[in-house]
Amino acid sequence: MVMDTIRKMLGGDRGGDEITCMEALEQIYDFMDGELEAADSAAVQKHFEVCTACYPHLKMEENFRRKVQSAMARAGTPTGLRDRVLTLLDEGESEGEAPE
Amino acid sequence: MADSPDRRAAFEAEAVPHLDAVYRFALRLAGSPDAAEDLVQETYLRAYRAWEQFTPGTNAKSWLFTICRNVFLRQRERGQRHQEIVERESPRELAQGVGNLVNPIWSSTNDQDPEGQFFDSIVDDEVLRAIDALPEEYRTAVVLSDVEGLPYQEIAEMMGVPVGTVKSRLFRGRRQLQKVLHDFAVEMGYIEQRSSEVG
Repeated sequence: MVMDTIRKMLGGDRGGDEITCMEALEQIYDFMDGELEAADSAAVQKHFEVCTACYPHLKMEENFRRKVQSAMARAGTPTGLRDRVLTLLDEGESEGEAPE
Repeated sequence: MADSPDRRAAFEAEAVPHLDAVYRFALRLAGSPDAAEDLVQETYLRAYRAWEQFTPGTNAKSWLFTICRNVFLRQRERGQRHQEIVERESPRELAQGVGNLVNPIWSSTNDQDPEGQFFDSIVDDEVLRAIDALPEEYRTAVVLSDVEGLPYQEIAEMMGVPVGTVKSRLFRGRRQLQKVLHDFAVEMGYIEQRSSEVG
């Protein structure tokens, strides 16, 4: 396998829970998105904590995500939308709409 | 058949609390507050009529997002033609995309702003504009994952595509968004363009 060869080249055959830079970067989104099993997630987290080359990559992705979240949070729901939706449901009921 | 008070109460307890999230999503799909409000109202009306199809104990938010996106896509079909994305999803091409591990943005900024703090300097409206400019398939995946925190599996079911496609859309959507924001930051002088490799 090509990956095994690369892992050996990068000194990844150390056993235990250590992973290579390549493996960490490959899984960066799976890690941030909470899609990894606990043991894999812990291994990736540990790599980012100790690897000075990879750490800024994670910080950059985190800064990017925080910005997307804060920009999206600014768009508040219009005043009264909840009431208008509830009124709409009342009207739907009075029209005697049977559920499909 | 008259609606029972229980049915209405269950809907108000399970579905109505997600109104803010559904509006946030609708606004990014529809583009304007008026269109988003119409979309939300249509979503809730349809959800209420189809409430018996909701499986208790599953994620009501995902269910509402699915209805919201379906309503939006159907409206769009009736309107103007949209730009189809070219999905490059053969395993080889996907591997090449995901294999591009070092973010090109990072190559450009690593000597001046390795942690990407320039993102903080960008005004929210510019970020929203950049999100809205993404193809719908990327935009939906990025919003549902980055903002709403939905698991890949739920996004895949919502969009009717395999999990691998969701991962690919997230990867491409995030990189595209980062590039637009990076270029904006360069233009505004928040960071200097040091590399011609970003592209």
